[in-house]
Order: sequence, then structure tokens, then C-alpha cells
Amino acid sequence: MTTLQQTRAAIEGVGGTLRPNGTGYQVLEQVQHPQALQLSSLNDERAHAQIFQALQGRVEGVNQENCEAGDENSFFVCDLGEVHRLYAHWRSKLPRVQPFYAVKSNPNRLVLETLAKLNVNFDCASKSEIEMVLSLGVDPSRIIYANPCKASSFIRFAKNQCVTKSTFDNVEELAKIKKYHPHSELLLRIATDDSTAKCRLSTKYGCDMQNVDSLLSKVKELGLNMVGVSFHIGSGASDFSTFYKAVRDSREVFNRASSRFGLPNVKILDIGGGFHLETFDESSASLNVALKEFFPESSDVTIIAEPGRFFAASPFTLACHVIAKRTHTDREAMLYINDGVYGNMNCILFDHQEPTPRVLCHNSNYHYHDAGSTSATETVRCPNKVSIWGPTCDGLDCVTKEYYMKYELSVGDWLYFPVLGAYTSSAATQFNGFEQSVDVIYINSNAL
Amino acid sequence: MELPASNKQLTELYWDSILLTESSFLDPGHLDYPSFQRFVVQEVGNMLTILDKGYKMDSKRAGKSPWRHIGLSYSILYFADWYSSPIWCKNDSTRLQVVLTRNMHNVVRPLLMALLEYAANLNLVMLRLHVSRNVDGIKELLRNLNWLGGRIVSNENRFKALECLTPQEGTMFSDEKYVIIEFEC
Repeated sequence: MTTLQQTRAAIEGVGGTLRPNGTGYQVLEQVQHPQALQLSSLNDERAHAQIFQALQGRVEGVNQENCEAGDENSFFVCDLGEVHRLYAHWRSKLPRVQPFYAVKSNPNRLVLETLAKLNVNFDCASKSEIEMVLSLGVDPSRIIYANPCKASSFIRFAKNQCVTKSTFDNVEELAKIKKYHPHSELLLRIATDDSTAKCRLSTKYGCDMQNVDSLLSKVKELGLNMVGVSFHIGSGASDFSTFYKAVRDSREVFNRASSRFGLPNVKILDIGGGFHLETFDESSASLNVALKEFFPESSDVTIIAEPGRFFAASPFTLACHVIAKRTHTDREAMLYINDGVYGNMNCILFDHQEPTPRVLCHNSNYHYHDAGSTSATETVRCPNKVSIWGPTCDGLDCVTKEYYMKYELSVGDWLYFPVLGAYTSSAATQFNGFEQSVDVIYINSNAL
Repeated sequence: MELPASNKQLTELYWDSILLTESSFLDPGHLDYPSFQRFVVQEVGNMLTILDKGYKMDSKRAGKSPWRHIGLSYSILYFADWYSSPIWCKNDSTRLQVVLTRNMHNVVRPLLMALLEYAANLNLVMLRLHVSRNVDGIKELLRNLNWLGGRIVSNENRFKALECLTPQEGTMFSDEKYVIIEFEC
């Protein structure tokens, strides 16, 4: 088995779990139910033991009915050790690429601190994200401001905070930058073919190749400082040849900038984000091939990326509590849980995520390690069909329309959702009693 | 912009914009327009009195959803390139609230930019869009929400809200036909 096949096998639950072995990750056998536990994380058995311990500790506190008000709310367990493992994985696969973590994917302060200590830089999309990153003591030169809709006030704010790197893709934006932040270090965002991405971005954001010259001409005319080229293939792409085409197009823009327009400072290639752990081996391999061909190490070009989900998803596990149940038949029910799309599962609505429910606690028995406690399809082991709903009365607040449970869950039972850190708590909203802040229990499985 | 109209006409226009903005939040089941008109006029009057006399604001007001606040500053935005009729907005000292009920397909980004610039010109810190659930282009907006730096805000829980609403308010207005999205300005 090749490493790639081993990784896939582990992720698909037929091999085992992954553990760092110095040069990458090796597959280990003897995991009781790898399918349930892996779900695109680099967690090993020790990490799972710690995650379970944290989940169980909180739930038992609640079930003993001596909890403080709010303790029964949904909560996350965050394994900061996973962040370290992810960073090591990134470095092993893309050693030339400096990550700028997309803060919008999860602005959790401890995750940001951990990443900052690992020398990861930051991609900020709003004033509050910039403020938060700067409050960690991060130098403004380590921030790129990549919001595609920058109002004048945003640009003025960036200037005041000494954040100079930002992207652009239209003439109007250049005019505003000239007026409010003329010494910006600008990266021209080009459009890519993102037709296979789950979240398509280039459809609306990014300059088509046929319009690149007019933008380069405008940069020259306004005397602005263009330092690089940027693209984003969209999130959840399945065709990684897109990377090859986008890197090739970027090379073309580099060439035009220097030869046709005499822009001497174009030295950064920003390959964007959209990296998923489960496809990272494939995407990074495609990327490395393209970089080697169009931007070899001798080219003296700095390569950066804007990964968000890659670092944010797998460190987080969400635990929710069944607060109501409506039974249709013996084998079919609607479960209402104390979290949903207006809380920590916004990702369902606009990030195409399909959280995977697992039974954590049923009738005071724990099933964290039981992969067969739920199934996306009806099986002999999981005959109980449920739809899972959030606590609001809103029809959009649906966590899953159909899932199958081994147990007939009832009010007071707990579910958990692994790999649920990306675009979740960052989007939670405070509205009429739904609390914005969610409890996070931190563990560090690397510290064992 | 100076409008070629008398003060009386401008006053009528302003009242029209108040009523048209607030009618966006009328509950579909509420068909008694005169009672709605009376209620809005009374609320605007109350707010003017509070502002004029410097009275303390009713503490219950703070518990209400922002879209329920009547007697704010009202604007009519006209984007002739995209829409044949105006967009209704209102703002307090921090937040611009905009009701969007028309096709946004292909104009999401420029429309958002225009609204952000307008809100920033008013020195506001938040832009809150109330977008009709069935409008064309809403999926495009939601799909790109993370990318655009927006966040979805839950609709009002009317049952809970009744604690700080009069029965008349509770039945007359609702926000259920909108998806509410908020942006930092």
C-alpha cells in the first residue's frame, strides 16, 4: 500500500488510525471502530481517549442534575494537539507554502494563539478579525486582508492598523485603495475554474484572464504597489487539475506584469484555500507538480496559502443534548437538539456541510467508541429513522433530514458531531436567548 | 440632493417611506391596514416626543428585535441600474436595516458594496439585510456568506418576544418571511 492509499484507507475506515511517524503519518491497526472516529482527523487513540473523557465529564455533570445554569448547553471539545498535528502534516506536504490561516473559518482565540506560535500567518476578512489577530501580538506584516468586498471604511481601517497586504480584482477597488491606502501591497486575484467546488467563489470573485491587462495597466497608471497574484479554487473541489491551470495562469500574470507593464515587485503567489484534510494528499500533490513546473524554487517567489477549514475542522467536536422528541411511528421520530443552524451549525446552511451525528450517551450509557451507533442509511443495526432539528421554530433549522440510529433516543440523551470546527462557532449568533458564546473544553493530546 | 418639492410634499414622502418600510414587517395574516397606520404614527410620535423632551427610553424597547424599532431614520435607496423601484431602509445610531425583496441574482456583490458604503457614510457599524426567503439570488448570497464576511441572524422567537411586546405588536408584525443577514461596516 502506498502512503496515499493507506491514508485513504484509514479515512475510509478500512485500515486503522493515523499517527505521526516523523516523516508523515502511518496507519495503525487495532482501532475498535475507525470509521466513526476518523472522520478526516489526525486524532490517534490517545487523543480520542482524551476527547471522550472531556465529553463524558461534562455530560455526567449535567446528568447528575447538579449543574450550573447553562451547563446543559451544547459545547465543544477542542484538541489543540490536533492543530499541531495538522501543521506538521501541512509542512510535510507543502513545505514551500506559508499558510495564512483564514480566521473566518474559526476565530477561536486559543486556536489562533496556537497557530501564531507555530508561525502560521493570518488571512483576515473583517475589522474584528484584524483586531483579534493584532491583539495576540502578531505583527501586521503577518496579515493579509482578503475580503473581496472592501468598503472604503475597511480600507481606511487596514491602513490605520498598518495591514498592507490585500487582494483586489476590480478597478473600483483600486481607485479606493489609491485614495485611502496607496502604499498597500496588492495581490491581483484571478478567477479559476471552480466548477467542481462545493463552494464556488470565482463565479463572482476574481478577475478573468482576458481582463488582467486592463487591471495591470490601472495599477501602473495609479502607481500602486502590486506584489503578487492570488487565486482560490473554491472550497471542497474534487478536480485538482484546477490547481495546475490556476498556477499556470498565475505564471502568465507574473510574466505580463513584469514584461508588459514593468511592475517589478510581483514576488508572491497566493494559492488561496479550500483545502480539506481528506483530500489533502491529492491536492498538495497536484499543487507541488504545478509549482515545480511554473514556480521552481529558483524563481525566488514566495508561496502563500489561505487554509481555514484544514486547520479548523478536525480539532473540534460538538456535543448536543436531545431536548424534545416527536414520534411518528415506532421506528421514526423527529429529534430536537439544543443547537442548530442558528447556533454552531451555520455551516449546514451556507457551507454545504453535513454534520455526522454520533450517539454519545443513551440511557446513561456511553457510546463514543461505537461506530455502529448511527448510520446514514438504514441498516439492521440502525433501524430507527430520525430527522434532527435545532431548537428554533424555523424551517431552515434542520441538522439532518434523515439518519438512522441504533438506539431509540429520548429526551436527555446526548449526540456528538466530530470534525465540526470550520465555519461553525464563528457564525453563531446572539438572538433572543440563543447564546453567542459556546463553551469549549480544551485538551492537548500532544501534551500526553 | 435637493428635491424640487415643497415641505409638505417632502413630509408626505417621508411618512410614505416610514409606512412602506414598516409595512415590510407586517405579518401576512394582519390585514387591518388602518390599525397598522395608527400604530406606526403613534410609535413615531412617541419617539419624537422622547427625543424632543429628552425622556428616558422605555426599557422594554431594548428587549425588542431591532426590526421592531419604529421611529428611526428612514432612507429610500434607488439603484436604477438594477431595480425599477426603491429599496426601503431604516437606521439607528449603529445599524442600517435594509429590506430586500427583489431578484438579487448577479447583483449580490455590487449591491452589497453599495449598501456597505452607504452604511459607512452614515457612520454606522453594522448592516443588517432582511432578505425574502424566496427571492432569486438568496442562495448565491448564502453560499458566499463566509467569504463575504456576513453572518446569519436567527429570526425572532415570537413566543419569547411576547414578554416585551404588546399583544397588538405581537400579532401585527413578524420577520418570518425573511432570512436575516448581518455584515460589519
